[in-house]
Amino acid sequence: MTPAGIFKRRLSSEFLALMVVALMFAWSNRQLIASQSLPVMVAGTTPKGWQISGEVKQFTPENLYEQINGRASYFMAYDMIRMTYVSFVISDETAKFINLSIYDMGTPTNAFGVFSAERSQGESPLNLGRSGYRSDANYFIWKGPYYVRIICSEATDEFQRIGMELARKVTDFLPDSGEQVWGLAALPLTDRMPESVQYFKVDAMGLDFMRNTYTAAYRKGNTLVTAFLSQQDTKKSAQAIEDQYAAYAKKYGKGIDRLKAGEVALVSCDMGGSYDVVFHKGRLIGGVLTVEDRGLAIRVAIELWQQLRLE
Amino acid sequence: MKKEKNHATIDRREFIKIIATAAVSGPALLTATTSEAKESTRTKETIRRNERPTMTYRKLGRTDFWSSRLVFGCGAALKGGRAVRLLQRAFEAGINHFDVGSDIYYKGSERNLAPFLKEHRDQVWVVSKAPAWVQTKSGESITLQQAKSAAKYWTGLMDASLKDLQTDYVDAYYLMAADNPSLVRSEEVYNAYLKAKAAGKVGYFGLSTHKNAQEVLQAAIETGWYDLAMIGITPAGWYDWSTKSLAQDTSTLVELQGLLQRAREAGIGLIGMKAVRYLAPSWSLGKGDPTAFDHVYDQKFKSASFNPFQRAYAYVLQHGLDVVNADMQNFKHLEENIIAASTAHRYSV
Repeated sequence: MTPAGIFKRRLSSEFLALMVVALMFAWSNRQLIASQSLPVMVAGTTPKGWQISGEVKQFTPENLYEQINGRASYFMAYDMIRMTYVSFVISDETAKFINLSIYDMGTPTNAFGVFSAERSQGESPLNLGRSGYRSDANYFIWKGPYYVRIICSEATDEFQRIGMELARKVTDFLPDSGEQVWGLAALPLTDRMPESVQYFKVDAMGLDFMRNTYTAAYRKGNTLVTAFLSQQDTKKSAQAIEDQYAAYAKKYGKGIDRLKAGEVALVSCDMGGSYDVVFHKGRLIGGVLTVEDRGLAIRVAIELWQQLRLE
Repeated sequence: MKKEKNHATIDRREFIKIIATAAVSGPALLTATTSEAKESTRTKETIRRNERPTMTYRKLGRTDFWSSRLVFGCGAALKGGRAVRLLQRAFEAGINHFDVGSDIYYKGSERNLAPFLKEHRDQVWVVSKAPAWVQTKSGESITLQQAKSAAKYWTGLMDASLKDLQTDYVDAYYLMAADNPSLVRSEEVYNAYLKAKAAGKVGYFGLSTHKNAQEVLQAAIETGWYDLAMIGITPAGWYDWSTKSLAQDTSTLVELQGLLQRAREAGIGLIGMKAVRYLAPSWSLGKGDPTAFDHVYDQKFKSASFNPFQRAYAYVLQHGLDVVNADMQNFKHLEENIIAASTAHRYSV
């Protein structure tokens, strides 16, 4: 390599290192700014005529249980970083309250995970953050690495109005880097039901070996079919997950069949009254769940396999 | 009790074989093998549901319900529908007691339990629970106005639970996170329950707490109102969520037998919870020390072929708790806990 080439290469690696440091600083700074300023910003959202009960509180993984006890492990399974909480009340003598919780989940993927796993179908959608909905007078919003929950003690129009106003204010000041969530892009869009994607970091489908798994509902004629998809580190580990799935189906179902359709290799699992069909494609492991019609299950699994892009 | 004696004659190897066979053969085999036992134990006075030889059962206080000693805690497990597949397996193993919680707390879990209930409602016992939102600390007395508001709020959440569960009746409904004895003694909340019972919405009244549990249980005994109490307890004593640790200066479970006995004499069915959380890894809010309770086990429990979690469950079941509620989010944990609950009686004190 010429001296000019060595210089260019060195410059480029130094530039890259500098960029990484700058990005890390920017990232940690964003976290710092958000963490430090959230209580102040949250306090500024107090609805007119209401007051903060006690003070704005912040919780970390070490003490989250103090605020939400039994549910804390749910958020911690998605690597929660910090939760900011405030309760607005009219007075201490009534059970009228509006509780605001902002979970900083560290990444948009983790925030999407907690948001999507709690999401109910058929609720009123909101045009706030990346996604959100209203349930009675309660508001649930995902924006970047944040998951926002606003819980009102009553479902009256008045609470609905105040809750919405609060949801808007909070969503406005929360930052979002725009970082993509892999599964939302990886799961094919054709026939996919809106707002049906969920992300499970651990124990997807109750299986201890299924981690970082996305599920989504697909409309196939009159039938809704649930598909799942997960990306492993290597092809070998994807194969290993498929084998574990087959072992699970043998134990809890009525047996498996290994099928081949062109280049697509499938494992059809008879779960007793319904079928799971599983495959791996490169580092991806995917399939369909609990489909009564075996033919449909196989067909949808093949379609899914064909639509998946290998990275 | 006859059934428990029958189980005592099954050794561990046989028992595991039954579980494995049941898992492979499905419910048909289990139904066939249990029909005789079911008939022989059915009486007018008792409520018996989905009893199978792979599980043991205990009458829950004055409810007359014979509950599986392992209660399926649905709250966290059913969020997002993650563990719905476990429900059928639990049912096939003879679990007949399913505990869930209000949407305000365990968002979506009641809705995810509803399809299972649609299929098995008459065969299982369903409990849900909701907090009564009161702004006081554990030791403070609540005002009449606060009690009225709390009762109204709790009732509203109960109605929402019924809607989400798609049922018009739950077997019991708990006052959740009831860490304040003053709230436990609140006539307003109790009257709210009586009203719901009269309306045919709920069968029995209970409370749940994992904070200040000793005082709360004493208050519940004094009132005579509570049929069920779900309490945070471990082999080493009271578990306290506010410190994520054992309660300060707690007596051991053995030393708490007098209080637990008084509760049972008052007709309260005792459900243990958080029995193993202390042992769990830190991401699951535990201390990550599976040996933490070893000092309280006698030789019989020490030598049992259990893992630390199974040992803790079996121990609390054999030391004053009627049944134990476990949060099981995957098949592995479910299978482990079934074994612990169904063989705990072999280590009787």
